[in-house]
Amino acid sequence: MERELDEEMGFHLEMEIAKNVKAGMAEVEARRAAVLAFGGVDRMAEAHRDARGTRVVEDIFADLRYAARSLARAPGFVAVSIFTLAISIAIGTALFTAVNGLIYRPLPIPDGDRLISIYTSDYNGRERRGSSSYADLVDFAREAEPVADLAGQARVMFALTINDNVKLVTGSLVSSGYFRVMRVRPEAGRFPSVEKPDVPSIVLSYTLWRTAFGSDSSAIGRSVRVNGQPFTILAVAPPVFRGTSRENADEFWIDATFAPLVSPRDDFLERRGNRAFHLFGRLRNGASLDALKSRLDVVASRLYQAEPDAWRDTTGSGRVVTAMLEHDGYMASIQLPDLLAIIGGVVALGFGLLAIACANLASMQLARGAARRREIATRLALGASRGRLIRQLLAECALVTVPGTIAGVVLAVMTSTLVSHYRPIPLPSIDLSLDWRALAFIAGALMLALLVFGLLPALQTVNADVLTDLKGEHGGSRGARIGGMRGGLIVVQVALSVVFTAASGLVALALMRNASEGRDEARKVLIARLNFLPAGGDSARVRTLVDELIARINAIPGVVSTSAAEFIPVRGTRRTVMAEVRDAARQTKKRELDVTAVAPRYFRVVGIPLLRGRDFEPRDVGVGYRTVIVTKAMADALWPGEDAMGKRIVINDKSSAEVVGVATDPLGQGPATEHSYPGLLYLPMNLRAEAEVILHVRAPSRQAAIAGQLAQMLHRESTRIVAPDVITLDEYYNRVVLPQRIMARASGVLAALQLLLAVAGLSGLVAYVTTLRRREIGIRTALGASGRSVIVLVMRQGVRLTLIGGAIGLLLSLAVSQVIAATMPVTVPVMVGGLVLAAGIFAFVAMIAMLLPACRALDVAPAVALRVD
Amino acid sequence: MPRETPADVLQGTLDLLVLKTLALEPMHGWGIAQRIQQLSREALTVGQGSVYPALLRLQNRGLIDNEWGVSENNRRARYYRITALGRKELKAETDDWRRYAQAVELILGAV
Repeated sequence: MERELDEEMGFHLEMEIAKNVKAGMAEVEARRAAVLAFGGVDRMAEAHRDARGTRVVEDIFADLRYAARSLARAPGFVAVSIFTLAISIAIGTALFTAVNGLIYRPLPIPDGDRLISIYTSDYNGRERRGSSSYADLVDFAREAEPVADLAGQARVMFALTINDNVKLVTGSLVSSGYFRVMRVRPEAGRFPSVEKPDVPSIVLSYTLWRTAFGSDSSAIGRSVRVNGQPFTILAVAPPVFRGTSRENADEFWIDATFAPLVSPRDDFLERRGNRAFHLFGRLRNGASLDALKSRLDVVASRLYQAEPDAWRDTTGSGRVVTAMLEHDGYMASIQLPDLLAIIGGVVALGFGLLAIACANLASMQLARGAARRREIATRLALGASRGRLIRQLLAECALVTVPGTIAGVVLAVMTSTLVSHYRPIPLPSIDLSLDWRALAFIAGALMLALLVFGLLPALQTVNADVLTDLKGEHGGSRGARIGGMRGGLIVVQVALSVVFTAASGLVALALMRNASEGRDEARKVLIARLNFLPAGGDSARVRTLVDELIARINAIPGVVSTSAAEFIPVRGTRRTVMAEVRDAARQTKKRELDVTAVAPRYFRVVGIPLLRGRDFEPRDVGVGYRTVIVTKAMADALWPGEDAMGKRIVINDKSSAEVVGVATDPLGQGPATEHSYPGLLYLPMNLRAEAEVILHVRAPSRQAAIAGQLAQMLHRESTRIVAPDVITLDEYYNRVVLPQRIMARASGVLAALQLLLAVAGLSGLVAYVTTLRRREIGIRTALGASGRSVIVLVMRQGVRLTLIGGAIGLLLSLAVSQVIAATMPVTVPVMVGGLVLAAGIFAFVAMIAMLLPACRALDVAPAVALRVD
Repeated sequence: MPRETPADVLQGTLDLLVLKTLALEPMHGWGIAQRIQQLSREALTVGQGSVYPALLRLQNRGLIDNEWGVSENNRRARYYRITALGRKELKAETDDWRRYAQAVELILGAV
């Protein structure tokens, strides 16, 4: 082909030269004239080659160079596109990987897909996948021995003392052979042998080992205290193994035979009725699941005869034992609505994210495509072939897509590696290794979106009427309106941007209000959470212990008074009792009331003013519920327009209590949600050894020093009580809203991103309209239109789309604010403030974004605008 | 009023002229340019660089095809030849052109 072309050109030149020579020219002159007449051999050949499509490969580099130069002039566009692509790929993949790990993958242990779960049906026979007792496990294991290896684990929460720090930690009591059945290998040390170990020993999770010992291998063999008893560290589990639950992570494992040592009150080992153990098993080589099932059925019927009390359900028949693959059991245990909610939620979130990302990419591509109509038309007129132009535009897409996708994949891989190997947060046993299919799907979807939206406007341009585009005439009538797709995208962006801005604004305002209002009192109160160890004795001894402690704390200089509560009422958490109240019409009504139980002097200590009546006194506690205190909101709700003092409330169908005081409502319960805030009922505290108690200490000054003394005092009691830390009530409130703080940050970042994208979209729109209407603007200016009317002309569409998007956004924000109000004090002023702030910020930024390109329309000199076309 | 310098062939009419030339006899690219010049009694020159793109265009539309042959000076040359489709197109375009030229003449001839 190429050779033939050369030959044809050569022939032509030769003929021309011969003709020139015949006409009397010198040889050299003749050649020059021939070449000149031809217009350059190279150019000719090039045009030919181009048209015949033999240069594709050579062109790719030229295309990429050109694309790079052209994109370099729009660095913002490139950066935002790449960033959007990368972040969406990473987040999308993470979401789908999480669902996949949580629901569809087996436990991340060797041969996890062949692990077997064994269940005993529950007391009413309805739930077949119940847990079993340790005694049952022993019987099951003995009978199943020839066909399967069984093990069990019971979830517990113990106080762990490591290097003098006491912490309440969740872990499991496990049967011997548990790690053998799980087939995990220790990260350090060795797992306990099957024979009962004579020294109490413990296996730590990787996370606990890292945080408490800094991954020091000399930790093996050291001693820690579990509920006050010394245990030797035997091994550390691998990072990925966090027990067999997908919802909760185990931090340690202790052989169940040591249960009486650390938890003497619960009879874990002997009592058949204590069904705390989840059972697992591995089939031996060649054994079938059916063989295991039939052996377990034999045990079940034998136990039904031997232990009728524990093995009969409420219908009178014997309990049923079920064995199935662990993953099947897990899947069956997820309620269908829950499953649909999780999958639906994540899919919605994931696709929502993809949709936003696609919308942003598409909108930017469309804007760019539109702005380039003229450039493309010019190039077409200059003789570029359409195919050539499309290749060129594809190269430009590739320059954005390829780095964006690579960055996204790298980010996804890094996140996955980080999460699945280092486990920065205590995640349960979920297989979170990278899901390549999800990654490929998401990256593919985004790249497709980019290509489609990048090429659509380009194709449209390439097929358009070159002359019209070149003259810029289509701006006159038909092109002045923005296509529905582009307008829709801008509306969506504006709406999302307003929602995110409003949400972050709301949370920020609510946090500010939360942090400022009434916090002076909270800063003067120190709190310490107490849990009682077995060595603390029964409830009576615990009560004496707490009284003693309070007396000693009161003796610390600077402490005004000390009290206690069972629970700190904060938004988002609640405890309730059933109460019977006789209202004004003498009607007795049963209702659920929010409660907390508090010790004497609580209101004085916490600084909550009593509006009527008195504080609890020592005579009120330890005698059941004879007296109660209600908040103002509850008094108004129960006895509107009446005096609450002296009214009676029947609690849990037994104690009839008299209202002896009315208190102001506690912090953070603002009037905005008054209709949904039911007030609070204070009960006198009846201390039980199983309960948690929160000491409240009033210290108007020197809180830090007093907190230190208090912590030391509690530490000296560490054989009987666990008290993780002493903080001010104010600090506690701050910790409670930590998720909201994180949410506010994330929402703020998203809001800024959305704002940026929406603004870019609007600004591009106005610039586009301005370019399209250059001619019209020129004529109008020539006819004497004022600058203002020109700006109005070009901004009209942008303003309309902003208003539509803004209205939708504000409506959505109202819905979002209801969600936020569930955990945050969102008052009317906060809500109005947040929405006005969002609308204001957006309107301001959007106006500037549109005014800047609009002002360029003013620079259009009538003569120039008309002449250009 | 005869012009001093020959006019360039109007864009769009070149294809018509090339077709007409080839309808007379198969010809190579250089010959086509020469023939147009000669038939127009040197009134028209064909930008030689535009002959080949025109040939390619016509070929892509199936109006002409080509084969290698030997030229009058014993050189290998590519000869272009009009197809049946080309002849039909030539007739249609010739009629169009005549109508157009008459219309222009009528206007220019108006007093």
